[in-house]
Amino acid sequence: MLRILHTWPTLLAGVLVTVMAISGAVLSLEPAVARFSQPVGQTVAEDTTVASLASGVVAHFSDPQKIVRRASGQVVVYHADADGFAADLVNPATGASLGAYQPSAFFQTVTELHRSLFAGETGRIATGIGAAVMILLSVGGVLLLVTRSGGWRKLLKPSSGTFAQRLHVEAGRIAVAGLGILAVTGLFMSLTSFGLIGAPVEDSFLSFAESSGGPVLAVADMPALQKVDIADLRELVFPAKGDALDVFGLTVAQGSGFIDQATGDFLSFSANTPAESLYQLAYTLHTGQGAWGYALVLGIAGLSVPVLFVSGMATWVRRVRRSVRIAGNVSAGRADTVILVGSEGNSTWGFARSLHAALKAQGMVVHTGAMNDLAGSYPSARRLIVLAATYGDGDAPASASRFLSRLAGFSCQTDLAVSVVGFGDRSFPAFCAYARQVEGALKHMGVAELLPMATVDRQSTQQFAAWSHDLGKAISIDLHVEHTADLPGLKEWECVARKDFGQAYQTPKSILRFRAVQTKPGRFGLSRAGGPSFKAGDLIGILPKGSDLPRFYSLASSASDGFLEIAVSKHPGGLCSGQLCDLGPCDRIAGFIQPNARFNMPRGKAPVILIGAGTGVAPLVGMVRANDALKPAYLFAGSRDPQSDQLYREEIDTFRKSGRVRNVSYSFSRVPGGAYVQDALRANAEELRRMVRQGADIMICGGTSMAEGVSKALDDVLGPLGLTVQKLRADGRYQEDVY
Amino acid sequence: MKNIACALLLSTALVMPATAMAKDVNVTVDMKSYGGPGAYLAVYLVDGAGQFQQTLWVAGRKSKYYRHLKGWARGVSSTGGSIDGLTGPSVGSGRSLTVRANIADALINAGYQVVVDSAVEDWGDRPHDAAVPLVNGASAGGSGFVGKLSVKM
Repeated sequence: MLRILHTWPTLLAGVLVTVMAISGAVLSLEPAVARFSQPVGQTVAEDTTVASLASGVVAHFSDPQKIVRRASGQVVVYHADADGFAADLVNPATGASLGAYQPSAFFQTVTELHRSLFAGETGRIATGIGAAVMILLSVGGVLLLVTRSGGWRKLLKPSSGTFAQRLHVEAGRIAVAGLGILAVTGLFMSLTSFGLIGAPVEDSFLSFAESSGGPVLAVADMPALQKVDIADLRELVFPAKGDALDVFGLTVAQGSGFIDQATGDFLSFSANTPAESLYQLAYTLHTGQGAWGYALVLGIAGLSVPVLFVSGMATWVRRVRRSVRIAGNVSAGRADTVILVGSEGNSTWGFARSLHAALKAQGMVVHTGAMNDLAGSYPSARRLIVLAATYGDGDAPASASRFLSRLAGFSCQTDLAVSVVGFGDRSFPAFCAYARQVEGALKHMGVAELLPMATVDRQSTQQFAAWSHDLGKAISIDLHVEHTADLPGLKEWECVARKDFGQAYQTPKSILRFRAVQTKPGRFGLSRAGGPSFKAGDLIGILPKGSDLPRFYSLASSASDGFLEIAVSKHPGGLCSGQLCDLGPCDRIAGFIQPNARFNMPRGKAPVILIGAGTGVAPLVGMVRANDALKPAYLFAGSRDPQSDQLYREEIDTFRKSGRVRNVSYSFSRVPGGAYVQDALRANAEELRRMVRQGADIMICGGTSMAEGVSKALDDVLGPLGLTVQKLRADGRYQEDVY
Repeated sequence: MKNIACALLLSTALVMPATAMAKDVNVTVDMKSYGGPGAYLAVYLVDGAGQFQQTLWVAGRKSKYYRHLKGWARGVSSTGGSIDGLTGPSVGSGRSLTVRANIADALINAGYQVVVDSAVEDWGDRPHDAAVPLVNGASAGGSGFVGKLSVKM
């Protein structure tokens, strides 16, 4: 719902808002340009009055029309002379001309574009609507981000997702305050100019102030002008020349009034109404007149709008394009197998489609639908499969938002059994929390369990395949779901080097180096410079021969190293690891890079604690290798035996000498008095606490049980600081790559 | 571009039905190229003593700015009189406005004058910017934003 409110106004008015924002950003330069391009004149004593300024102006100009003091402090005199009308900047102290006042025609044109799109009143209505849309988008954007990141307190958590999504979130975070101010004040001014709010009561043009008609008093002697400090002056309108009944019109910060030419006293003065004061505030906040630094900040906020627009549209187009159609969907009433999908970004639908096809190929009659479309009952169904993602901090994803309330009206026949699969990201504390909630609710209703609940971390096709294998066994069919989610373009990689370890423990491990193969010449017959871009911690999805299912390995090098490196542990009977461990020089594999920004070396200067075991050390070493900034890094590396399976020993020594890593602690589990990496953490607790106090990020790579052990050990270590792993995780300072 | 304004003159003792003792009079106001936003103008008749008699036309849509047409506003406020149907858009720099009015014969060649008050946002107010006798072929320059004011009948 929130997302629809964020998307549709953009589709309807995105271009309008973008034009307003860009023109506004251009206008944000005006106060700075005005400040630095035109003289202000000498500064005047604080007690200089409007009477003295006006008498100076009268002395220098034969027919002054009005004096305007701009927010920048510049004083402009509009006057008539033999040639017509002119405006001069004047010295506030003397009233003498400093030269012609030339408001920039460029800025005037852009102002006209900004407030009316060159379309008069209609354009002004449009820009008012644009401001309202901007408010909607700002508020909606913040609420979406709150929902997405799982709460107000996690609002500043590093963003995740595609480049466009991250760009959208980051730009929004930077700009939303400025955009909010601009939108609210813009709408306020728009409504005021249309008289919809705060319209001061317009007295009729038939009633106006008149002077008493006596002999004209010199401006320097006018009591009303003598009382006004020049800093408060907005404008002073002179009476028409030769018209003894006309009056001075004076506008000051506090209000406006009319002055009798003969007595020099106020005929009337009306203080600003609250609405007028509010309007002035809105005007100042919106234009930044007289505060050029502030105006430039607003301008940057404005410039974020085209970025937000383009990145938002890119995300939207991607979502629409990826929406999934299910081939050969059977109606819910006839199906023997029902698949329900709770998905936020459509990726879970992709799994559903693969599962649907595989089940259908085995002769099942399958219906696939959104969890929100849960029927009152499924009379023919024997199996109910729920594939549920989690949104934010345990909320229902978009296509399941009404599922739990609909479940109350669901009547379940006794022979229906359910299997729930949760999709999520282990780096979130609420991993698969919604799926668990659904599973609990179904259990509570007494629906039989076909399989225990399974989870799929970050769209792991392996984990999904493992679950589907169990499903096949449970229903006595031979089920192979090879879900290939949006495989990006495959590339050929040629093995250039390998190093083997761990033969002694029957767990062979290899470090493999590859280079990208320039298979095809680029467009126009030119060879493309360089291979794909990647960083240590990103993933390579490798398609082993004989399978369409990619296996992911963490990269132990960055593109700038000139090679792609992975560490592989050979699993007995493992298709992909087996093939990899048999590679020799010049052998090739097919794979694609999958960015994994969450597990790249964190940016910034804060220290980093790197904890890995087995082949999990590899990506951490890749990060250290790329640590050209020499930020403090502490590596904890675990393996079984220094004689057998210790990866990267020599390289780590080199990095220690060059300062790429400050401290290294090795743990060996299969030597006398052996220890695990978590034991090393406890032994170095004091140093770890010191680094965490300095804002250190923690990166962990290795197997699940190691990650659990590390998490427990760190909870103990951090206890004295009042910190927990959970807390660091929520702050985006604790990243795991666990397999 | 010319603003041809057909002014309907209503309910004034001075104005006769077109059939009896009245003439169609064209009053043309040519603006100077003063280079600012559109000017508000009031075109009106005064008698030989300078007393306001009758509004011929008011250019400018927003009545809240009419007070800046000071001579005219003072006249209207003291004499009264409707301006219904006698208003149109403001007149831009370098443009011209032609007002067609049906005026009683008794006022023509009788010492009455056509006066224009002008006002331009920021640039100032010009009561009595230009004035010419209500005589066929009369014309005069203006002191403010008006370049030339002329009468034809």
